[in-house]
Amino acid sequence: MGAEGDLYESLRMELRRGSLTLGVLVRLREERYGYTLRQALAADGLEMEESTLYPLLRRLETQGLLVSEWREEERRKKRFYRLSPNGEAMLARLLDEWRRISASLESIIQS
Amino acid sequence: MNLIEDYLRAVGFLLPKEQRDDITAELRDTILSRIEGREAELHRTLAPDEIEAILREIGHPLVVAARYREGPQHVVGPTLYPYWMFAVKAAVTIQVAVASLIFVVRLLSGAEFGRAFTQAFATGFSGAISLIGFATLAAWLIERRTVKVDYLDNWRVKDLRVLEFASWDWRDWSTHLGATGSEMRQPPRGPTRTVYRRRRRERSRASRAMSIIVSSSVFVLWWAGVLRFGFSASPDGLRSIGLEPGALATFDWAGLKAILFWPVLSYGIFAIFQGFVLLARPMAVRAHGALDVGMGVCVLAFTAWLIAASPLAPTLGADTLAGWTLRIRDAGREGPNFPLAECLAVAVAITALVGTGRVLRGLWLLLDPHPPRSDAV
Repeated sequence: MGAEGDLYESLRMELRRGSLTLGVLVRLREERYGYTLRQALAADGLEMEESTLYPLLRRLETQGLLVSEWREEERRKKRFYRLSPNGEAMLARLLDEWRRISASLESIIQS
Repeated sequence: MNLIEDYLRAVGFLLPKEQRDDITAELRDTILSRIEGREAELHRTLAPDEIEAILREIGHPLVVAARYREGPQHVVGPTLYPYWMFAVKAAVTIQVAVASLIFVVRLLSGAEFGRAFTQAFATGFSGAISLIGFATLAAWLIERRTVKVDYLDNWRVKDLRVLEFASWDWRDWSTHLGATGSEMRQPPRGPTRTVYRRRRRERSRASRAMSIIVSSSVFVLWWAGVLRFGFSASPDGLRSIGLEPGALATFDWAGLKAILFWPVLSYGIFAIFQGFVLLARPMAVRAHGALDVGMGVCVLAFTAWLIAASPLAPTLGADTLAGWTLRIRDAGREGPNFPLAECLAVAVAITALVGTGRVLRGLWLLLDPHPPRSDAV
């Protein structure tokens, strides 16, 4: 490993950064709270640290893409997040873009 | 549970007040959910050090709180870094140059090598560190958009000559000096000469702004006592650089500085401000003209005060211009050192000329406010 492993790690992080937001938005079509969202993403193969996920959720909420609500479940108050109508529209646009990038890369790789 | 509450309290202190409760409540739920999940896996309760391990995984309170904060999370970001590096190099070069100059002057006037060197090194080092500090402070402000600099987005090719200053590679320097030398030795032929002259006339406003900012900052820091070049105005200090204090040996320099401290400091800060105006609004020619006139008038008032009313007036003045000229001409014939009073008189005269020049320049800009041509070389 060593330097080459570090380089791989940093390039991989760069590659993943944008797709994490996309994963979060897709997963929040269904209402979830932070802990279960993180588990769902991990099951999808998109592990995320708490210190990245929670500030991201808050940012997306201030940007109007998510709505949140405190509700009691399993004897504790939890903050549930869900995609807002604005978020739905934004997600549709982002997914189109994602498919376009993916298709371009595929065609480059195959050529 | 104390571990978790202590951790959350630490995070909470670092968060903005209005978000504190909300964020820590969510974090508390996350931590408890994680602990419960782990306990369900292991079929037992977790030991305190296992809980602490989970808290460590979530992150140090400083890092966790910082992630929630808005605005840049760095002092000098990658966009600004090259500019910061350039400013630091320029400032350090100036500091090293001034320290070396004083070192050489002291050496030439018979100071002991080791002592002069240690002094020069110590003052050069602490001065350089302060300047790096100030450059960093400026970068911090610019990163947070507290200070906006038009130059960063709208730089011009002709401004780039100022960058040559940062070439620290001595081989580059010698080639550069060599080139300048040969250019000057060359017989002035048609095209070469025109190009050369044109470049001189079109000396970039940004480079003028940069030199005003850097030199005024160094001056202000020196005046305020932050930077020291290891020189004092004591009779011995003066003799060590080849000046004979004469009647001024007993002069109260500290008293004079006390009178002048705030006016001179304000002037220096105002000069830095003018540099920034020049950098941020290079086309506001009338404003620059007004600033020039204002500062020139200040300089003239200052020299008039020095000659007519200051504690230095009796030693500087002369009844007639002819008498003054003779006095300057005959100075320095008596001993190995140049008399301080005459040296100061010449300096005051030069300052007055500079002040007059600024007023005229400012008036010229006010009367003929054509912005610089964009097609200039």
